Amino acid sequence: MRLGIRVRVINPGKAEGETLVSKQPINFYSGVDFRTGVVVERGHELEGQCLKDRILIFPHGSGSTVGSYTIYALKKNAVAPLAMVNEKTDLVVAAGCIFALIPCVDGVKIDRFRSGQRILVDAERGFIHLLGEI
Amino acid sequence: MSLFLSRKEEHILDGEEGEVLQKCYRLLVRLGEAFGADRLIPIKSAHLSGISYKSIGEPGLDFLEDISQEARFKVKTTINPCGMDLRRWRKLGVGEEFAQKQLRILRALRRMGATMTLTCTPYYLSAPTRGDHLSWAESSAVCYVNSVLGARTNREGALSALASAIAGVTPNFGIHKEEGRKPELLVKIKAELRSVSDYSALGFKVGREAGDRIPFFKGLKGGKEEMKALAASLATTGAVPMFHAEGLTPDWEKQDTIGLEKIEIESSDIRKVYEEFEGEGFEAAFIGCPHLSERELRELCHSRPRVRTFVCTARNLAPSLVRPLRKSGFEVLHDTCLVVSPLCEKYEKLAVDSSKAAYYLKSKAVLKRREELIK
Repeated sequence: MRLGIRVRVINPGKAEGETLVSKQPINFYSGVDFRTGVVVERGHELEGQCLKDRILIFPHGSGSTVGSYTIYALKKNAVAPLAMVNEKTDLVVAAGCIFALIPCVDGVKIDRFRSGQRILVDAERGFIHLLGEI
Repeated sequence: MSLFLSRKEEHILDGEEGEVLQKCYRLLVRLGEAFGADRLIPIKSAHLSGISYKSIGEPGLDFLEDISQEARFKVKTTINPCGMDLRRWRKLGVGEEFAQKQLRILRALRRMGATMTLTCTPYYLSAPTRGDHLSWAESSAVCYVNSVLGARTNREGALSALASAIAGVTPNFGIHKEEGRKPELLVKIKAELRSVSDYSALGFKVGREAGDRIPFFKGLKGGKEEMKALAASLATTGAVPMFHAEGLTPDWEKQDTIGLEKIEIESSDIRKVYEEFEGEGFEAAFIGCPHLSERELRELCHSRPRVRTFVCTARNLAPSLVRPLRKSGFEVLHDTCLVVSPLCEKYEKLAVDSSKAAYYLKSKAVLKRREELIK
């Protein structure tokens, strides 16, 4: 069964892949290593996880505004997430995704998702489809 | 809501005034559409973050050099600290390779027309006035100028501020509008705040609770420096673009706090922040996150450091105080701060008086009150 969740488009595009879900906000500048794509923030629930080729679901960005560059650098280093899904996207994440050409949507409830689900982010029409578990 | 563009702006979007300007407008229009702006509005100034090579790396350097071939800043554009003191980096042991890359970033920014302030407190050099529309990155400065000076800037990302510096406009939404400045969380202060560092700890705690909401403080006292410390840490653990404080900030009287979620801050909440960054045996200390004001520098002149202590401030703020500070035993650093400099890698443990600095220095940091770091 394909369930469609209506979302707001921050940056258009389309991506299908495996979710990585964080209930905590992400500070990209200090919390993610832009060379490896690994979350390095001490005590963060995603600590040690790699963002590469995942669909990253988190409430919003936090902390430094340099996070936009980090997102751009993740993409240049080929370790960026396939798409980002937020409760409420902040400007730092939005500008990073737009410059790095990463599809980004917001307006979802984080607790609807778990890590390891397969989803389609249709950031052209503004839908997310749950495709099933992996 | 739709975003209205002028004929001229449409032409720019079509690429008639060059590729870089087109890209900047694309970003700003996209953001405007996503966040419900009605139009693009002119800004008085821009302030850029992401200046240190340590923060933006090779991709950032390539990007800035690339666009600096064509792009020029349309408004006054100040910049954040970089990764080293431009006059003393050799003496302080910053590596040659790092320095050369850092200098290339600065050359690219200068070429585009940046004012080389190299500080996170550009408002000490040239203060925005109430109602000014700006496009500033550097989350601490955003929170300070909105809250304390009554200016209007969203909490821009490094790249959206850069795009606005080049385009001279920003999408009209959020903090630029009256309804975007309303408080969303009531914070009652029951804690006793004795040091500027306690205000930093307060912001650290409240930033976590607030997320991206605008707090309204009741029972808060303190001067401009205390508000600076508070703004910086609110914007560290949270994505807080501004705050109101009863009796202190310019717009507090206009705000309605009825029905807001309410939290109370006790002295134990402040103590717990220090406990997150406990430790002994630090080899050096860092004071100046955010960069110190002239008043703070003056006060430090009358004390002495306990360990090797770096003091960070803007080069052009108070040049006459540098000598007395050095005489008192402080190492004054300009153009940089320990957090964005490779200098901090030389130390296992570093004492700081700012929870923002502690947060970014991670396991290296020992958080103390400023008064505990001097004698």
